[in-house]
Amino acid sequence: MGLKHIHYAYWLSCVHRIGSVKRNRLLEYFGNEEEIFNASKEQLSKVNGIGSKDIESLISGRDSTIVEESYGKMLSQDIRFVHKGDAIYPERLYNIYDAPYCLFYKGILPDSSKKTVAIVGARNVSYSGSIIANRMGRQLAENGIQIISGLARGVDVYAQNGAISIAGNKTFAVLGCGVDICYPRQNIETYMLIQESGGIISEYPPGTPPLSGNFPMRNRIISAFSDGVLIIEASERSGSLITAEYAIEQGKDIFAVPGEIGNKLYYGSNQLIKDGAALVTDVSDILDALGIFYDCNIKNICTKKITLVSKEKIVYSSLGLNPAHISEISVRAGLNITQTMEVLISLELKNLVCMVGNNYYAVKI
Amino acid sequence: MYSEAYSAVIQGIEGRIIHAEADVSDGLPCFSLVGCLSSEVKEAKERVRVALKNSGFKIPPKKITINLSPANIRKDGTCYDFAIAAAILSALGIISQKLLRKAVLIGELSLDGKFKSVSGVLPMVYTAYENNISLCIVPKDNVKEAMFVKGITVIGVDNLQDAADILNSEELELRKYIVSTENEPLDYKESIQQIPISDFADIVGQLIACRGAEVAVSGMHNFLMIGPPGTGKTMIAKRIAGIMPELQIDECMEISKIYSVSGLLTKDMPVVMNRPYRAPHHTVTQAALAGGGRYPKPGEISLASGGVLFLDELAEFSRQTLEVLRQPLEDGYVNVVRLDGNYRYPAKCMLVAAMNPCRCGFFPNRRKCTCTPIQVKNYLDRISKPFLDRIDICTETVQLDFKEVYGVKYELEYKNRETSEQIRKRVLQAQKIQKERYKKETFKFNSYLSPSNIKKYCIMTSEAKEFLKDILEKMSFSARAYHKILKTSRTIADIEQKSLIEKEHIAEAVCYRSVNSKYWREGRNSYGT
Repeated sequence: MGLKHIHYAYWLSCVHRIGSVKRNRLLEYFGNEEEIFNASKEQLSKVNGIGSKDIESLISGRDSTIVEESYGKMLSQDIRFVHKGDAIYPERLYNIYDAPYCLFYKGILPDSSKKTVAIVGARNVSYSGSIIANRMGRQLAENGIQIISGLARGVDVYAQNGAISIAGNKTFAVLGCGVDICYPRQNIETYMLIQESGGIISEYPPGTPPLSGNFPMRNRIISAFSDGVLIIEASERSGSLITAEYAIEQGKDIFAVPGEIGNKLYYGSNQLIKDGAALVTDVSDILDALGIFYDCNIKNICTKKITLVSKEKIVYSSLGLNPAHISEISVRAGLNITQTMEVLISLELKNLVCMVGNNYYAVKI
Repeated sequence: MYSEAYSAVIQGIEGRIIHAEADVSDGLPCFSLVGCLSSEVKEAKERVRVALKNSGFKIPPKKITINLSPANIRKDGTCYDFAIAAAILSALGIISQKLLRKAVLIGELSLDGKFKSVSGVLPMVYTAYENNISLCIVPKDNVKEAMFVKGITVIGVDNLQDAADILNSEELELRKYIVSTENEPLDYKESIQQIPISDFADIVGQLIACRGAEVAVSGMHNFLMIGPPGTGKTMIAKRIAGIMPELQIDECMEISKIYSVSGLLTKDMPVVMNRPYRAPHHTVTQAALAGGGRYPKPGEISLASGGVLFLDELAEFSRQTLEVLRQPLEDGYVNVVRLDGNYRYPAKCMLVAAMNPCRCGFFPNRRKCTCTPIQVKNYLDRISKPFLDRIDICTETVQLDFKEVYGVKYELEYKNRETSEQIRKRVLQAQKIQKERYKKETFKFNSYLSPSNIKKYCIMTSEAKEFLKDILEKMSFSARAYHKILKTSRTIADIEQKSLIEKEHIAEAVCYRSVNSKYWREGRNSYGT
């Protein structure tokens, strides 16, 4: 019997059918993990809420060699394990109600002493939302702020890509599945990069599939790690609002990027602002609120100095973050179609505009 | 006694002369028909026998043998009835052999001895002409079609009795039958104006798509329109044939041949005079689109030869169906191979396709589009990359405001809108330049330029060269995309009547590229940030 305390904790966190409620009841009854591991059937059945199937599941996995082996295997996959009570268990998590019993992670855990901002938002993000998310992620990272998010499609991944682009910054993703699973799959590139420049974190054991019920729960961890939560493009029933709710409960700052009235993509964001969230139009708004000193030049979005000929200026100024069709641009700029095309291509070459869809252009920042 | 008459068989869209040999001899009375026949030809036996009887000819109880030679070619269709009947009559000594040796006889018989129209008359008559045969006798309803071939005497007949009279007459007397079969030869020019073509002036807004269509037609580039539902994609496609140059007589012949083989020529439309516009529904099968079937027939792509093949809702077509178009689009013909032969159908059409950018149709307008990025990608992924590579010009149609469709702005703009005629003038000019440039080549249009020819013919100004180099470096284009841009900009320069490709032409061509980049982008996100 070479099992240590961490093995018992690992075993308990991996037992099938035992979630946080049942785990807490067991711990309350037995006092510690080792006792549960060695408890008899009769003892287990005395615990309130533990059924016969749960007992079966508890007993069937109680083989010390298997537990040890599987723990070793997990370590060999570069997955670390930390549980409540450990020295490295993040301090910030103790402050919340229903703190996760344990965490699995790849890479490192967030530095509790550093300022951290969570960026969350719509999965089906518009072009302007994606640009804002990317910029916010990048500029916060430039100011030494750790970014934490959920690695979901849309805002999450754009923000994290922005943060990753700043060398030396730490970015973290909290998943609703096992840390060895990249969900959604197309974010694999970001998933790999985050492991190098930060950490992938989950309270679910490796191999847990991305079940829809897990995702709202992981949001409490995202907000717990952060000092403030920035919400970009939340619609009326967005999952980001759940994160905001947790953040309010945990006493964190809420930042929201406003949207046009009547734009349903921003309904939730605007609602948050109405309810008292800080309105953010620029990264400096967040930095001010967090009390961070920053370079005043940051306010200028476009610090690149590029000379444009007059036609280019006209076309550029008629573009916005919302993608516009070439014919629309040509009307706004008062040029004919072929001239507009020529100017747009040269602007694209200068990396100032982006072709969002076919014949649709928007500014790039 | 032995006798023979000539008819013709269709192979692909070409005809071939066959002989109907008849022998009447003593023996047990019977009527046998041989020579690699399909079932409808086998049935000719009964039709001919009864038709002969009902036309007042008496068939003696003798052993009658018919052979359609060459016997190794499969014979389909009903057009041999006439030749078989004539061969029998001649073997019986009822009609003379003199004219029979100089004529090709085409026609199906009904039991009362009347002739019915058949398909494929045009290529058969044309084959007769090529084989130096001087006379063609066809059913009355097919006369106009057959008369399209010049240099051969065509006579239309109504029934078997008349046919026997004609064949018994002297060669010099034939003239009266020609006159009596009515009708001066078709006036080629006149019939074009008769059919009203919808005009480009009807289209509101969509300047880019209209311009794209013009460029596409000028160089016969394949053309794709992407856009939300109800923005005029189909309207534009329908009008594209209207800005193409008029059909030349040889094109007319080739297209009519295809239609003739498919049985699509009627009494009212004996030859194809307008550029075809074919718009198969997206449930079309591979064989119906490219040609094929147990007895091969031309597919939609061949029927669109010289005109427009419009594939609406491109993404809804089954993948395999679209893939069969790849080779014909490249080579300009379809080869259908069967055990008994190889059929080659022309397929030199301009492909026009339209599709939505996503399932709901509103991407990248996120306020309306309800699709996830994956759904958008999956929708677009239904079109394969190799297929897209064959499309040079891609534009997007845009949703219009109400005031653009009705109201003051509409009225104002309506006056300035270009008609198809004005656009056609530019197209003609551009095509003329190309014809002149490629007179030593086998092709006529910029879209057929091969990479080596691109180097030869797509000469840029030094400014344009710099510009293109810049674009290639920054936008990471493939070699194929580079060629596509050059071909398209060559066409744009032709429209502007410039001998060298200039910077603005390149810029416009780059705007039409599209497809290979953003929409069809691989990797981590759909906006490419």
